Amino acid sequence: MALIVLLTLLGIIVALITFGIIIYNGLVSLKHNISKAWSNIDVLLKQRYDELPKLVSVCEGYMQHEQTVLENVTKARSMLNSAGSEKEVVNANNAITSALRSLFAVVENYPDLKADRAFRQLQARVSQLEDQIADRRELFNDSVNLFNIRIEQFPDVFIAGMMRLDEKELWQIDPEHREDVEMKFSARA
Amino acid sequence: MNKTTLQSRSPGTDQRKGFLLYNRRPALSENILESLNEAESITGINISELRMRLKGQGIGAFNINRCLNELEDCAADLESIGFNTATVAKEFVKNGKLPPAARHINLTGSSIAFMDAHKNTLFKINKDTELLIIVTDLSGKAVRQMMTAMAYTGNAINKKFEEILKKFSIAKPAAVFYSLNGTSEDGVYVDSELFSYMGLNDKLTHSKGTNFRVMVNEAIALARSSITDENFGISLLPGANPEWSNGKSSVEQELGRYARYILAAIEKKLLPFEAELNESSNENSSPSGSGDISGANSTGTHSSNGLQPPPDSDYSKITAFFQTSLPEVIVGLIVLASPFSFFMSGVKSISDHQVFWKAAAGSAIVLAGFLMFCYSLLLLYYRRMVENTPTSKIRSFSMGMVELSGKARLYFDLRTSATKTHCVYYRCRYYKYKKTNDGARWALTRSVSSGKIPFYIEDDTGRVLVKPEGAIFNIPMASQSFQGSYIPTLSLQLHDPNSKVVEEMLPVGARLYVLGSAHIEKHGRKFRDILTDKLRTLKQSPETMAEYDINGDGRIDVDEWESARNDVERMVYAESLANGPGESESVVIEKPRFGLLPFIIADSEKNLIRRLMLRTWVFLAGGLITMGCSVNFLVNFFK
Repeated sequence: MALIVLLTLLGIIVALITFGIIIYNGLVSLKHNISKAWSNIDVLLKQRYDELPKLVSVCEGYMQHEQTVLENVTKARSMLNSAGSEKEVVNANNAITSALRSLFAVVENYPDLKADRAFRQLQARVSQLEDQIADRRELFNDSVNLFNIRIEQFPDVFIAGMMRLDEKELWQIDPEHREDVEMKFSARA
Repeated sequence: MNKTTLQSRSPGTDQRKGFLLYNRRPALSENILESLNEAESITGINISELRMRLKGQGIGAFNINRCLNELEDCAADLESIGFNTATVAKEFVKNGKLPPAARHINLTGSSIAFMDAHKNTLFKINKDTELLIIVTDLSGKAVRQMMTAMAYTGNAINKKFEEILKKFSIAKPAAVFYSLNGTSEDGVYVDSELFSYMGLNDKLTHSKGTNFRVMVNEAIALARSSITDENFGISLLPGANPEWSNGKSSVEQELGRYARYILAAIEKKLLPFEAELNESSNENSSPSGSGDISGANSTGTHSSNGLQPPPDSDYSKITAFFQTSLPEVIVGLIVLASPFSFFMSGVKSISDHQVFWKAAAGSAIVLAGFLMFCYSLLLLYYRRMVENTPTSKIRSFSMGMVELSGKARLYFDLRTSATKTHCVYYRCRYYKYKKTNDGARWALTRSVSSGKIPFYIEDDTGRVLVKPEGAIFNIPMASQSFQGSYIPTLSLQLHDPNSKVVEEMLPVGARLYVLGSAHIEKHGRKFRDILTDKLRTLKQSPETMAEYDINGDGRIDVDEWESARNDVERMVYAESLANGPGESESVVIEKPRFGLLPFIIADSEKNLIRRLMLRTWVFLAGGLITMGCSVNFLVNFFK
């Protein structure tokens, strides 16, 4: 009888240890999932970063009177260049998204530009990248959310405590970027 | 509804089925004799007999919105082989929408004519009409009310009409009603478990209940859109449970109501039940009603939907492991082997080796317990992996482990073996009813599987190819069964109480969850060059190019060219699969190339997690208990 109890206890201990290892490994993979998701966004941000000068260059030929809009795009791009922390990158990206929205809104007033083949291609490319960034941002937030839930859930909370894991921040849109784009068209020459 | 089949509850009880239902199939083959030859080779029934059966009892019941051209082709084919066919032409269908023009009926001593609002004859049936094919809807109020009133209540509104209708019904039935249990007291009975869901296609789900309801709704809709309207439309309905009065659902109650109408109609001899019974009883087995939309043409170089046939695979391979993972099988075998060891230890002839056998048995159980324990941990790992991986959009997923959710779409023109229904995976089992010394039973004669053929998964942002080789499938299959054989080229099911087909499939459009590894795959040696060559060859062939001229304007526009290019790409890819890896790149989801990373295909994440959790606990508890008991046994044994 004592042997059965001993064996049962042994089995339970082995099961608990293994379970702990699985939880530990799960938390490690969750943590790295977030890094991976962030890096994958970075890849797209870099691609978009590379496309922006071409876009601005094409627009400049037609939009002589919308220098502010174009400057905003350039400024936002340089923000991304100088961004160091994740938060700064997020802010820079939000600024670019906002500047691009303004740019594409203003373009509606320039039929010649809209008809330009190079512009259309760049616009499609940038829009595609924007969509992909949005998808990956969603994935990033999912990863962060899963992580944040896990580290507070029982029994993961004990292992997470031992690993000193802290809650991660979601990628949130600044309230100002949620507002509609304000379109001010200059009088054309 | 694409096709329906009424199933008998037990083999050999139904000799009354004699019903051909042409129903929305793409086209008969160019030479009808080929189809009949094929039918002969499949069924062993000679051509003249088949022709008799085709002629015997049949009706076209079609959904006009989907098959006007095919239907007219079908009618022409049938007329060309000698059927006296009455067809309502499509020009009587206004803009292809219901309701059509039939508003008046003109009765004479020998015919019944349906006319439009201006009294123009749309359609006439006489006593020589052998096959009725309806392209249009004749469910104008006047027709419906008269036919319904007569068939349902037996109170004829117009005596003359009744007589003609009776003639029409007796000579050339508009529908055949089945009494599957052989006695009219039982009414029309169809067990939803036995019901065939062939042809529901995109509407096919994993739930039998849902399929059943979809089938009923479609049948009712079809019944209302043809001359079979309600009273005759019952032939398209799956029947009713005899205990309909206790039916919980409105569907069953409705079916019950239909069944009572039929019985009333039969009792009042408004339906040719007895006449058919006598005719049919002369045949050993008669055709049973069914139709098909998937139809023929699977042997061509490319099918009507432009997809290539799948590459050759071992179609005879029995994929019993398809839904059960190998560790579960190994553990199962060990557990099964253990009692055998105990049994052997008790056998007298080897009683000298009792100690050995008991030790072997104990050790085997310890091993089984340990494996169960390890397996439970593996399942737990999988579960955590599923839970911890966020779902990506197909448009933007990155390489590596990825979780996707979407609908299954065809990559190859894969069709099930028995009914040629489009699917992404299937397994068919063929049975024969055999008499044995103990009685009779269904014996498995053949089992066929599609193998793991690549398919697409599609969400609202795009689609990606999934190569399911090595995947753990944790997904309920849609299944259907029917008795007899099925001739896709004729869309004809021949009833045979002594044979049965059970077809399981993963239908096109099924919701899928995939956890696997995204890779850039290099395939097709000099893929781009081969593709260019093939496209060049295509351009140089006006006949082939003409096949892609969908709108028939004599030139290939961008969309048509895109379609042609897709076909060629698929063909080159299929060839590259056969020829080994190559150089071109495409993204595929497949089994991870290292470690214990899972490749799972399931119906939904939620269901998968639930099943994994259940299995984890079962194996964990089972493993610990088994190990504890067996170690205790061994320790006591060696004490």
